[in-house]
Amino acid sequence: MAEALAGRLAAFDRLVELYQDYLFGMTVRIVRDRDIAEDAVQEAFFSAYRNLERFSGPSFRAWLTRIALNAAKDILRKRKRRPAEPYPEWEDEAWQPPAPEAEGPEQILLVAQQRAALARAMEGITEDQRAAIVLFDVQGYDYAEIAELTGVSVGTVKSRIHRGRVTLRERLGPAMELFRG
Amino acid sequence: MRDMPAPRPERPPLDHEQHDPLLIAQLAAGDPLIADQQQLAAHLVAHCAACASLAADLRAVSAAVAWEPLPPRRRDFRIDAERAERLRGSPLRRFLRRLSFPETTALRPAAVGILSIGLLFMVAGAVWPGNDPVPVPPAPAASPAASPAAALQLEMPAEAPAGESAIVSAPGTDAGVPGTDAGVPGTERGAPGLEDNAAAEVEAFSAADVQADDRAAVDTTAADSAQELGAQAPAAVGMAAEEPRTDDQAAARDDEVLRAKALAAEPAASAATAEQAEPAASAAIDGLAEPATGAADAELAEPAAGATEGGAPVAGAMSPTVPPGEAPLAAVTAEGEAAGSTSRPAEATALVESEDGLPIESVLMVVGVVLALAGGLLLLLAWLSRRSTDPLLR
Repeated sequence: MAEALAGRLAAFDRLVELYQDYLFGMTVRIVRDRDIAEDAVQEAFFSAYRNLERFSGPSFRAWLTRIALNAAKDILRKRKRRPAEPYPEWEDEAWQPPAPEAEGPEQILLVAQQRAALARAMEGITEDQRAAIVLFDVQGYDYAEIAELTGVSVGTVKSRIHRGRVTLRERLGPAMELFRG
Repeated sequence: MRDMPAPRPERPPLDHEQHDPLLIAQLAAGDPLIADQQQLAAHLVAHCAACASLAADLRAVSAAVAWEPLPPRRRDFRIDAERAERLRGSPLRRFLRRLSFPETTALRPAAVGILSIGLLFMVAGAVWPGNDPVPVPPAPAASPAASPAAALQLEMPAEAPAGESAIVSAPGTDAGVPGTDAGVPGTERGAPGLEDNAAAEVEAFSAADVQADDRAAVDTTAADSAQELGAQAPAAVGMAAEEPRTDDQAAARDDEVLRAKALAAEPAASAATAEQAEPAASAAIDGLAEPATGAADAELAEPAAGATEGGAPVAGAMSPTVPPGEAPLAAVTAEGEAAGSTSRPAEATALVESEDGLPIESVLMVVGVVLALAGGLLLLLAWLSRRSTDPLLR
C-alpha cells in the first residue's frame, strides 16, 4: 500500500488484482449489467490511481468502494436513455450460474429457478435500495459504514434496506415458495 | 365522583393490512428497537400468521441475496504504464489537483474576501471627495450658443458655470434682436441707446429683417437635419417646418431646432473618439464649418466636437446654423468652453498632486486594483482546481 501511495505502478496493480473481483461483484449486483459494471470498476481504478495522494485512510477497500459506487451511479445516469437487458448472459445457453456440486438434478433446477426469480425481483427495487441491500447482505457492511459510503444517514440506510426487502418479497410473489424451507 | 379508568395498553389491530411491515422487517433483521416497538413487533409475529410469514420470508430473501451468483469478470483492470502516464496528467493538472485537496478548501473564501476588499478600495478611491468628476454642461443650455450672439460668451467671467453662461450669453434670442411686434427694438433687455437714435433704429430694423430672412432659410435646412436625426425632438421639428412669421418667433424656433439637434447629438457624441474630435474642432476654428452647409456637415461635426469631454456638443450644434460671418467666432467660443472645462480640473489635480504627493484616492485605487487582481487570480485558481477535482471522489 505504501509503495502504491509512493506512485509505483506495479504496487498499485497488485492492489487492483486484490480488489478487482470484489469491486466487480459488488458493482454488477447493484447495476445488474456486466458492461456497466466493468466500465464503472475501470473508472474507479483510474480515479483511484489519479487521486492516490488524496487517500487518507483508514480503509482502502472502503475508499475504492465509494469511488466505484459513484462511478456506477454516473454511468447509470448517462445510460438511462439506453436501458440494457439485465444479465443477458443468463438468457444465453453458453453461460449458466454454477450449480452446487454433488446435488441431484432437482436441486440444481431449484437453485436455478431461485436465482432467476431473485434476479428478476432485484430489478424491481430502486438502485439505492439495491445498493444498500448488496452492501449489507453481500458485502457485510453495517448500517453506519453504508451510510458513510453512500453519503446518507443511518436511518435512511435502514429504511432502504427494509423497504427493499419487503418490495423484493412482493416482487417474488408465488416464486417466494422456492425460498421457503 | 368515580375514578377515571386507567388507560389500557394499545392493542394492535386484527387486520394484517394495518400492521406495519417495516416494523416486522426491523424485527426480522435484528435491529434494536425501543421497548414498545419491540413488544408490538413480537406480539404481531406471535399472533398474526401473515406477519410471522413476512418475517420468515424476509430472512430467506436476505440469505438468498447473499448467494446470488455472479457473471464472470471479462476484463483485467490493471493499469499499464502508458495509461498510468496519461492518468497522472500534466504538471499543471497535478498542481491543480493538489489545490483541490481538502486542506486548500479555504482558498476559495479567501479569494472572494480579497477580491471584495479590492473592489471596496477601488470604489472608495473612485468616490473619494477629492476625486470629483469633471462638470459637464447640460446640452440644452449649450444650444443657445448657436445664436449669432454666441461670441459674447468670450466676455463672460470664467467663474460662471458653463450652463449659466450659455443661457445668459444668448441675448440675441430674447432681447438683442428687436421684435417686430413690439415695434421698439431692445425694450426687453439691453440696447437702450437705440431708442434715441431713429436712424440707427431703422438700420437695426432692416438688419434684423435680413437676419430673419437668413434664419428662415437656415430653418429649412435645420428642419431637414432635425428630421433626419429621428423622433427625438418631434415637436421641434414640427415647429421648424412651419413658416416663421416674426423675427422673435423665427429666433425662438431657431433655438428650439438647435436645442433638439444638440439633444439628438448627445448619444452619438459620447461614442465618438477624441481623435475625431480634434480635427473637427480645429476645422471649426479655421472656419471650415460653414453655416448652412447641409445636414451632412452638421452630422459629421456634431459627434466629433461632442467628444471633447467639455460639453462641446455646442460646437457641433451651432456650426450648420450660424451665419457666415460668425461661424469661426462661435466655433472658437465652443472650443474655448471645451478647453476650459477640461483643462481647469486637470490643472487643479496636478496642483493637488504636487502639494500633497500621492493623493489618497490614487493610493486607494492602486491598492484596490492590486487586491482585486490578486483575489481574482486566486479565485481563478480555485475554480480551475475545482474543475480538476475528480467527480468520482465526491
